[in-house]
Amino acid sequence: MLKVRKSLLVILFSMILFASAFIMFGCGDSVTTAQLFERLDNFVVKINADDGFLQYNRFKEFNKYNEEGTLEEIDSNYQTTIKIALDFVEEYYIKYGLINENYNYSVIVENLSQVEQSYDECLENYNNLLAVKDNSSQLIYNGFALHYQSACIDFINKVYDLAFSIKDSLISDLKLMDINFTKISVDEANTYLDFVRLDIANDCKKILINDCKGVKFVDNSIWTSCGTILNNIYAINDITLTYQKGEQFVFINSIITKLSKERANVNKALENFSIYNYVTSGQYGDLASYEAIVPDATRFYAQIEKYYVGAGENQSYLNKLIEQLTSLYK
Amino acid sequence: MEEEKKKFNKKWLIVIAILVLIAIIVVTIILCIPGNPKSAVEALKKEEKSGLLQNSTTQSLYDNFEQVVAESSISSYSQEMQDVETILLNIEVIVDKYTDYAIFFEENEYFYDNYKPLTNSLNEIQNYKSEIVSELETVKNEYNKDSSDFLRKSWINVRENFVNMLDKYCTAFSTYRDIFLNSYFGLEQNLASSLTVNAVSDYLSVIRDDFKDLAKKDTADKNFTDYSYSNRVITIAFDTFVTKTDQEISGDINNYYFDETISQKYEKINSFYSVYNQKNLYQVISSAYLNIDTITFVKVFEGITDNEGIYLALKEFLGGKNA
Repeated sequence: MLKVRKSLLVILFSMILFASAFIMFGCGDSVTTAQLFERLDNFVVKINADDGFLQYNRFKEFNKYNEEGTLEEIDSNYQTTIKIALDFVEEYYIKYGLINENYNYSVIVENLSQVEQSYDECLENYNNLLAVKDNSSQLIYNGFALHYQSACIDFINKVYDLAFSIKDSLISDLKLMDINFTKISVDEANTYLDFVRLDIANDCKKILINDCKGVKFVDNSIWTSCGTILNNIYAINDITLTYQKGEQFVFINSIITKLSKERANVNKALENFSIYNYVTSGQYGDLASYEAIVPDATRFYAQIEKYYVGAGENQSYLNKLIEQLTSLYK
Repeated sequence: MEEEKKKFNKKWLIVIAILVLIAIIVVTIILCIPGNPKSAVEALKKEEKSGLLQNSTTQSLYDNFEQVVAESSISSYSQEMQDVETILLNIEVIVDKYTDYAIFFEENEYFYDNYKPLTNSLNEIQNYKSEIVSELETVKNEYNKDSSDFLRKSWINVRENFVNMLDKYCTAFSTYRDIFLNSYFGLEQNLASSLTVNAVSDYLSVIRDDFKDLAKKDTADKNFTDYSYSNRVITIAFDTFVTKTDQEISGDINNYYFDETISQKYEKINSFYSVYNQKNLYQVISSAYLNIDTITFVKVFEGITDNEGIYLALKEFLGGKNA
């Protein structure tokens, strides 16, 4: 009897220990919806108070001296890329100020912390660059410009992580995408467009920022197409008038569901093939030879091209989708 | 005596127990060896680079064989030889296209459970290719102008290996079709592409059966005068279909979800195809190439509304001429 009692006590103690450990480590720092809203609000206010950011002047300082000794122009894709993500955060964080329920926001909180840290590093690098702007050699300036550029690229990526974690929360917690498309309202249609816009902007960011590291490859059709797609998706306006286009939304939504699967193939291609490495390889334009360095290079490049550029008379998948969206949101 | 008998039985029991244990361990090891679906993709890539007539030396040997046959008393084989070449070249086009998709197959449970016939078939095809090349080299090196019998036996041997290859391609492509439908999840998996992979499988099955039949009738011990070749129709149709796949159908696959007329067209074709498939394929193709203007709808076409419209759509898809 004593043995049985001892065994039961050991089991009970272990369960309490496990439960405590789970509570301490498994749940982590939890925040309420009100606290999340306040943190996001502080971040948005901070960004909007920063004159440099407000005018996106920060990104104009990317320019570097080229071999001829002149400052190269900034690539405007940076500005459009970051604007889409920041606009998304600014527009949708407000939703958390309108609800009372609490959810698990650990991913959003973590991403927000990363964004705040990255923003500070960005600012520090910017100030360092300003300090050497008129007082140093071009070589030193370029070194600081490169650091600043890396910090900004990191900031862009972190903002996208934040935007996507907010999007995921809006879908799973606030159920913003539980839409009856045949009876879609104007607000729902505009939310839908913003969600799609973020996805497509991210598709372009993968090439322009993550793969090409912000370098301009004007001779590469994939790079140039990304810039055009970015501007086109940004230019689609929200619907302001009431309308009834439910069936078209049902059709668009089915396309977007399939596009997400096509995106998975593109991601696989980008895991194996880098536009940056290809263009700078010395074998640019000769995919057959490049296969010796990257097996299946031709196929991966073709997959990426299909998605962003198209071939012959065929538009790319993204361009086809944008055409449908543009007709829908007129 | 009893003691010794008991000891003897005990020894045997131990031996049997050990053997059973070893068998269990071996079976467990075999079952636990993880699958390698990537081998199917690698096999496709290898097949893509090793098409029988891709190699210029082999092509030259085959051309030589065709020439000597054309100048011999068994020149009736010439058309068949040309058609075999056409079929092999079209298979190369298909393998190339299939490999484009295969590198994006999702390694899901279906792929893990079903890739082996694809890998094994493609690997076995290499053996038959070697046999054919060996035969072609023999013809090049040993043919004597007075020996048409020698040529005939060589061609019969090549045909036999060709039929075996077709058999393996049939297995490979039908396995590929199933994997494609269950593991490729892009925009290009739609009714146009699924009908295409189905049609490829069906075409090759029909072609294989035709040549198998021919191989049975035209053996070395039979009289050459009994030889009769009638497989032209299906080969022309297959050639046209593969060309269409590379051009028009690729465009349809690409635009399927964005163009209602395209999706409706394939829904129409599919309504016939899903009910009446390989068995009726030959009838559809034959009637197309025999240029039959009026179609007699026999029993097999019953149950489909708008028979003529659907029939014409299917015929066009499969590479038939306009009636």
